[in-house]
Amino acid sequence: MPELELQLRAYGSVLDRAGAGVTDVVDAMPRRLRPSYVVAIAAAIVVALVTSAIAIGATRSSDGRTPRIVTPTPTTVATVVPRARVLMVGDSVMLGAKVALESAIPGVVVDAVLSRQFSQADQVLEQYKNLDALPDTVVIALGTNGSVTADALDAIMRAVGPQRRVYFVAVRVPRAWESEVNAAVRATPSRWPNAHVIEWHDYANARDEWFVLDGFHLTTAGQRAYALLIAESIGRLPASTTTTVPAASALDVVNVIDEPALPPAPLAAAGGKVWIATESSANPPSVHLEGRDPSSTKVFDTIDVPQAAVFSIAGDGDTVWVAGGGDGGVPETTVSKVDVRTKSVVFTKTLTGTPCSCPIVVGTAGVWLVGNGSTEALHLSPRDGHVIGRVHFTNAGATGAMEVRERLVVGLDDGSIAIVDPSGGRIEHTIARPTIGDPPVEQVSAMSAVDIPAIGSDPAIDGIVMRRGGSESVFFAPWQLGDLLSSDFSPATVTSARSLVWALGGDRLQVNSTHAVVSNEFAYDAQLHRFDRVARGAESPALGFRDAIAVDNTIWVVYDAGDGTGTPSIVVVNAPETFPFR
Amino acid sequence: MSEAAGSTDERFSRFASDVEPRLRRALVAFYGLEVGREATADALEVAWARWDEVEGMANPIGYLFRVGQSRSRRYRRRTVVFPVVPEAELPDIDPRLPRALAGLSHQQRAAVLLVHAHGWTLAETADALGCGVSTVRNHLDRGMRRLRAALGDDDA
Repeated sequence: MPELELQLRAYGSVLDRAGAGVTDVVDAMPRRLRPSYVVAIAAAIVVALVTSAIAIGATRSSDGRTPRIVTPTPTTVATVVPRARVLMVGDSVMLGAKVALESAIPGVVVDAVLSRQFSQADQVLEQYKNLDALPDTVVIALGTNGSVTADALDAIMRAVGPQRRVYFVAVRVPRAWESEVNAAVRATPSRWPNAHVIEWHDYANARDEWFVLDGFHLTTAGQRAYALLIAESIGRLPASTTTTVPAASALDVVNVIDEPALPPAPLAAAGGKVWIATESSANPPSVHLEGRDPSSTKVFDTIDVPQAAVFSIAGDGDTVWVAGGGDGGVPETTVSKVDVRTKSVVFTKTLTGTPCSCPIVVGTAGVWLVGNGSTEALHLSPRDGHVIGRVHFTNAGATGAMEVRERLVVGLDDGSIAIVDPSGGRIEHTIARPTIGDPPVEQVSAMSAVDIPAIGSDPAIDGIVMRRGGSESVFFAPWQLGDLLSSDFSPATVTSARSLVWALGGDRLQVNSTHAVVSNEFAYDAQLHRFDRVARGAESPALGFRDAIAVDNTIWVVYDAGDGTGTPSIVVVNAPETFPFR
Repeated sequence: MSEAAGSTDERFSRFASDVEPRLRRALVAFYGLEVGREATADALEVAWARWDEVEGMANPIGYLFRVGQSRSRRYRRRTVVFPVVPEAELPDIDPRLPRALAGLSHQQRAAVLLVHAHGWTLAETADALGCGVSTVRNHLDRGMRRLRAALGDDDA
């Protein structure tokens, strides 16, 4: 064999070829190719593919010896067409709103490509129909790129057939053909009883803030409004399960869940669900796990774990780890590993001599019990839970921990952060001390972690929630974690206002239309490299932050209600799409 | 066809066809073929939705790589898949190479593939992965060592 470098160079061409064509990966697990993928790649490798954006069938290698093989098929898109409940056919305006549409309308398939004209719609619909993939509800949003005739609209209606409902979206495109398109579209229901019109034009015409400079492509707020209007018009608006909202503002609350007996860290994500742990008072005592859908928050599964107490839980893949103390006063921790797919407890292990209130952290860095106030973190075997390593923090006690990029990040009660790298056999850790301005993170007394997908303009931002001493308890500081992990928190490592700012601070849950915060908001000033308080909730009830996780595009926050009873609730909010401060 | 619609669309198309191959190489190197391609598509969707911001960026690959990383969380449970070596066509590549690559850490694999398979400089790789050159060099060294060990490369 030649040098490894030369082999790799040759293999690069194999990779390029396999990756470049929109191909069918014959893998162990057949799966559908999402239309989003089709759309984005079609856009990417020039619009030549657009017209064949829903080609058919799967290409399988004839080579039986190699079950995993990639067959480049650069001129067709091989895909299994997904079963949709709603099909949306559109142009670049819809493409921009795709994410918003998918989150607003369950079961939607958005087939939107750049520069599509009305005259192409009937062919697209025929393709879906030929694949038996045309759902009962079809939304057509075209007309951005040119006018339409009654004949073209009739062709669409014929392609769809009389049994399905068709919704045309009246366009807002300040161009010569706008009125012509909308007049033609509005005339269609008189000829076809199953045709309807969604009045985006009338609804949005005065809302310039929903449009970018060209007057028809949508801003983030516009995308959301567009999606909600369509969802509402086709009767697919998800039923609201919201009960009470702690602050009277336009919080994008998905749900509020009242659970009277929540442990300090009761949330975990695993098996596509969010799990909430509570202690059951049944005899013998057990820990009750409730699995909810992240977006609808409906309860789908419950599992009882035979251990007496729970302090924290953590999820990884299809596994939920439950950690908690035994009897009060006895320094021991019980750890259970639960397979949420089979709803079975894999093992339960009691570790004597360890503090009973330990956050448990699970990830590619392994399974860790991080002593609450203790100066030790225990590395556990994922197979049976026995201790396979220990880290001693010489300077302070641990207050919270999270995994970041295959490393364990531990908050210490002197305000510093330990970064533990378990790779390479020997467990090593380094201490980093935050030095970014106000509020002083040196007062951090506890740390929880939020690993947030797609916050703001920079989706790579992960966050750390720190609890400071005293009543102003929490703030949320997303750093560029690549910088965070490099050496320290020098101000220069926060490179833009986008890389910061979203405060979970203080005493009440307060929100505006795009983001959820607890009052006492801090904004990071990129020029001055410091936090500034930008809002304070003076009259607010005292809500204490306990725990938070982010799953899909929702953020789940556990807080103590402000009624003096300390009764905790969970509020689920949609993750903000834009940063409030720029 | 409207001129106004065309101009944004055309600029994005040009951008996408320029950036997509490099972005895909980086994400495929990091996550394997399947997740890498999905993440690339997702990142380009975000680029389109936020075109106003992305268009002016100095290092869009680095930004979109992080977008892809963030979006890849939804595919995390999928196996790392690499295409098999077409042995008839390329008999000089060890057929165990894809499996050995799949066994590396994400960072090591990205460093190894971007530098050696695609010929990127350490600086280009560091820009895309959002880390320093010395970090890339470390991942590269470790990755190559592990690959050699996995392939039993003592006869080479």
